[in-house]
Amino acid sequence: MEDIQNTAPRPQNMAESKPAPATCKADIQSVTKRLQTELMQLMMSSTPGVSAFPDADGNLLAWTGTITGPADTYYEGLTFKLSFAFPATYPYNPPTVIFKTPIYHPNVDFSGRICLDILKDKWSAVYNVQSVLLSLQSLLGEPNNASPLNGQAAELWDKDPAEYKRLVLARHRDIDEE
Amino acid sequence: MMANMPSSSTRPKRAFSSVFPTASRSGKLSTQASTVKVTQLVPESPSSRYHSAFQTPKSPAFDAAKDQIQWDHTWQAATTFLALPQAPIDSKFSEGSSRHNLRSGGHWIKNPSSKDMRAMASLTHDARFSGVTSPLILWYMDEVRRHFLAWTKPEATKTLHRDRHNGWIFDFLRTLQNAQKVYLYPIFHFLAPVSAADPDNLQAKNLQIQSRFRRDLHALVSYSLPQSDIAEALSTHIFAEASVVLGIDWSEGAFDDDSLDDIGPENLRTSEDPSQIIHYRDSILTVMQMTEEVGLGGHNAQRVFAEVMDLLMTDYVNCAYARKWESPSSVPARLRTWIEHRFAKLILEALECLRKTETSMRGDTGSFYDNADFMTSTIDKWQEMGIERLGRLRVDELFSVIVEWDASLGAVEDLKQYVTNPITRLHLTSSFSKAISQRLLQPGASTAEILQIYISLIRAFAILDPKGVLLDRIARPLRRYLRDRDDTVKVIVSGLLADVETADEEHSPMTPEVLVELAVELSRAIELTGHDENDADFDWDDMDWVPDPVDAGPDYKKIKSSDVIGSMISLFDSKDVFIKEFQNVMGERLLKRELDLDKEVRVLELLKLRFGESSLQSCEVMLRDVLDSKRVDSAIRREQQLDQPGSDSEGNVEVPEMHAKILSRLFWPALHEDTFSVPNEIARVRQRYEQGFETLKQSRKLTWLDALGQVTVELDLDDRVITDDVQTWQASVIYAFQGSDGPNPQTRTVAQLIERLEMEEALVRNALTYWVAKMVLRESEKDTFTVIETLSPDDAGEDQAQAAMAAAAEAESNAAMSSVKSAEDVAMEKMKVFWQFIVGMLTNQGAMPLPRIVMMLRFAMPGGFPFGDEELKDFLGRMVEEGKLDLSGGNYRLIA
Repeated sequence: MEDIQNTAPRPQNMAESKPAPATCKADIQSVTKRLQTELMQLMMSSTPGVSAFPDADGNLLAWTGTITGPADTYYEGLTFKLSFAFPATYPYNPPTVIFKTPIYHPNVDFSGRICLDILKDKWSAVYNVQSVLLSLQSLLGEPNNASPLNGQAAELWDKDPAEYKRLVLARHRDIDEE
Repeated sequence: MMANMPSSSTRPKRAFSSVFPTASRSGKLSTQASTVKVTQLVPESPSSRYHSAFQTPKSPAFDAAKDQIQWDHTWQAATTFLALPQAPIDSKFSEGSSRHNLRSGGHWIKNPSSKDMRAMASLTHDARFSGVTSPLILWYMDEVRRHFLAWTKPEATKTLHRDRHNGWIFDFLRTLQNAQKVYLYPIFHFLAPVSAADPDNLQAKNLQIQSRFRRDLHALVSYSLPQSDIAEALSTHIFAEASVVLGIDWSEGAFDDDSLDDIGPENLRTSEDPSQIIHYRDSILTVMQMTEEVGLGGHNAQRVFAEVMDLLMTDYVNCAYARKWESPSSVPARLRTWIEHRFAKLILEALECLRKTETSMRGDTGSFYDNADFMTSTIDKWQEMGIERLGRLRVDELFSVIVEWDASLGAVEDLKQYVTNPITRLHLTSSFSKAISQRLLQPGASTAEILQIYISLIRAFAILDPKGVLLDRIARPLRRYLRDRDDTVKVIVSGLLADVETADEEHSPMTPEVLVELAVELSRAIELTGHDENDADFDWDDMDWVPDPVDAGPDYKKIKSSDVIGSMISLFDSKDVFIKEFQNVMGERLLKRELDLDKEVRVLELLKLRFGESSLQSCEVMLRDVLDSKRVDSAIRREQQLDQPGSDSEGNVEVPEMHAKILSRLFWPALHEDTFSVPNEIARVRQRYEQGFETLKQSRKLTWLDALGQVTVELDLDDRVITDDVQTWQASVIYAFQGSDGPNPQTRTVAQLIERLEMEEALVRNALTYWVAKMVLRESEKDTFTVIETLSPDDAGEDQAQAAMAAAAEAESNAAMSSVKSAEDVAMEKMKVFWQFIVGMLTNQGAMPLPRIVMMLRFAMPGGFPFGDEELKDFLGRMVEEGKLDLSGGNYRLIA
């Protein structure tokens, strides 16, 4: 069941990321420019533990990100891949971010969808790829257990660290070489 | 039937020769009617043919047998007399041969006896078969045909193929003419006059017979002789002679220009020998006339003549007007005059000649000259043709025209008359584009040259086609090419900053590498601002508005095509490239120069008009920095009392005089930041200077750029004193040779210097080379240098070699030490940035092959990725060696 859910969101997101070209041709240019700047920034600052890069084929609207689990958390030593899909209205609307690596986490469902306020209603144009990545990295250590997408995880987080850790490791799978 | 000579005549001939093989060509036609009896077996023997023609209308009242015998006798007498001999016609007959001459000279034309006359008369007199269908005349035609094919044709062909000497075409034509004369003789004198019974009708009938006979003969001549050979011979002859008549001079530059200036009907031939022209013209006309007379004229001859004249017009235009580019151009006017008074005249005369022969036969009188309208319209057409030829010539020359602009203004004026319709415009653009790409857009041409030509191009086309469509089309490939050249921006910018004054003085603005012209143009360009071009189409009050030309491209924009600077700047998609380079050049100049900055200020102001204030802001800051530095410098010096020598607290007398330029780092292009330890004295002064600055401008700090600056060095050697303005690092190196310790003269090795100065080896070596060239140092051993305290005569001998070396070293040091970082340096630095990208890419996207990495970098890097596959491969290879990457199966993988 979990696996079926995991494969589902991808095409859906791709469709979202490509708005009708006629309506926002000019927008795409400014989006591209913005994303290029962000990329440059990201490359030059090289924050440890997070990174992201556009997918191939001349389309800057789709990126892949990587975060490593912070030390002293359940996720220590694990790497997670994320997919970023930027709307043509970026940065006025948030990118759609999804965990590609299966993750066991209170605020992430089995399809990889994330519940994070800055990716939803708290989004602001001052955020960028880097801040999203850093927020997600800290989310790994400090979940918002009040509004879980994965109720079991939220419950186990404090209750049973050993079981939680086991489930995290059981769920984690490197998708690097796919 | 007889008129369709070749096809219909060969058939009976073939049948005939199948029975009498030997009689085929040389054999003569039977003259005796009695032979009919012998040749009964032959279905259609020649004489029986004529005979039967006679027999058919026979009246039954006559005694057939008796009449037949008498008729046979008469036939025999007539045909024997008229028979042509078995020999070629003597070529001695000439123009004026009278009947008498014919008879005496031509031994075979006998005076007809009265019996012969009677026989002929009785055969032709019969009203029933008189006229063209008379059997005797038919027979005679056959006879002529036989003779012509057997004798005259080989003779004529032989003449045609013989060695071509002067006037051999005359020999050929004369042969034919004589033959024709002989053939026609009996028709005029024996057959025609007696053939008509009705005197009223006589004249008309005779004419009819003659013209019919002549037509048949001409048909025979024109079909049996090799047309192409004749046409070639004719055209060679006419070509040679007409070129003299038309005044075409093949020798380069020999064409006498002035003589044609006031060309008119009277002084047409002032430049040549008039008698010669008349001679040649007559010769042409004679040939034309003869050609017509012998039956080779008509369409073919006219076509040959037309072809020759067509060639000659092109040739004339090419050799008379090539490289005649004076302005205002009188060439089109002169060409028109030439066409009207010489070209057209010759054609009309020749055509008249052909026509005269025709009309003399046909009897109608009409002349080309009669129809004035026809004349003028034809001449007009020819003149248009001439102008078009001129246009083509100019198009071919256009590249040279542009190169020699603006001494070649006249040529462009000529062209203006040519590019009046889309076809000619297309021809111009396509052929000129080809010329440009072949001759200009190749590695052999320097960027400055290309730009120079582009500038000339812009100016020339502004006159040629003010709308700018042609320029738009031609300049596209040129601009695309310029965009690919690395140094285009550099050349343009240094051109903009060049010295206008010197250019004006020398009046030859083209120095090999600097486009001074741009500077001139920039200062001139102020005049054209003000009118907003974008609004031109919406300016309803513009009464001079015209639509865009029909051949304008879809994305054609009306530009101020004469705006040279605008064209140069718009070469690049964004102004940034241009501004950045301008910043670099500006930075270099500001740092190097001590002179006043009026020019820089002016150029900056002018550029601001084009780019807007904001984009040139950093340049402005740079300029300000330098100007402010002077003020701040003197303030600091006053404050720190650096001006008073000897006031140093430690009692050192020698405080070097030092001035600094204070730059706002953020606004300057990347500068060289090589560091080395400066001499102590300098360091001390710098320290004090720093203090002074910090008291003057609080919370600001000075960072010294060791490698930038100028030092005036005074070297006090044993026998001489050398004063020189050098770079800081050169001064530091020579300063390192100072000192009382060690042997005298002072000696240092390269390694010592590097250690002591903490300077890069390249800089040390560069400085050493400089001082060796200046004859201050000598390389006593490898990598060991010694001060030359005393110049020996030996050293003086090396003077010249040293001087050459000095020049080289100077150039080298300039290159090594241009204060602003070169593009390559910047690129190398960028490699580090690329590495970050590659890491990011490989982290997120997994292992990748090289082409994909390159592709990703190309699209992800702002400003593009300046390296090729190979360079990146080298770089990645190095990373693999350093253990940062892993290469397996062509994929690069990051080692975590």
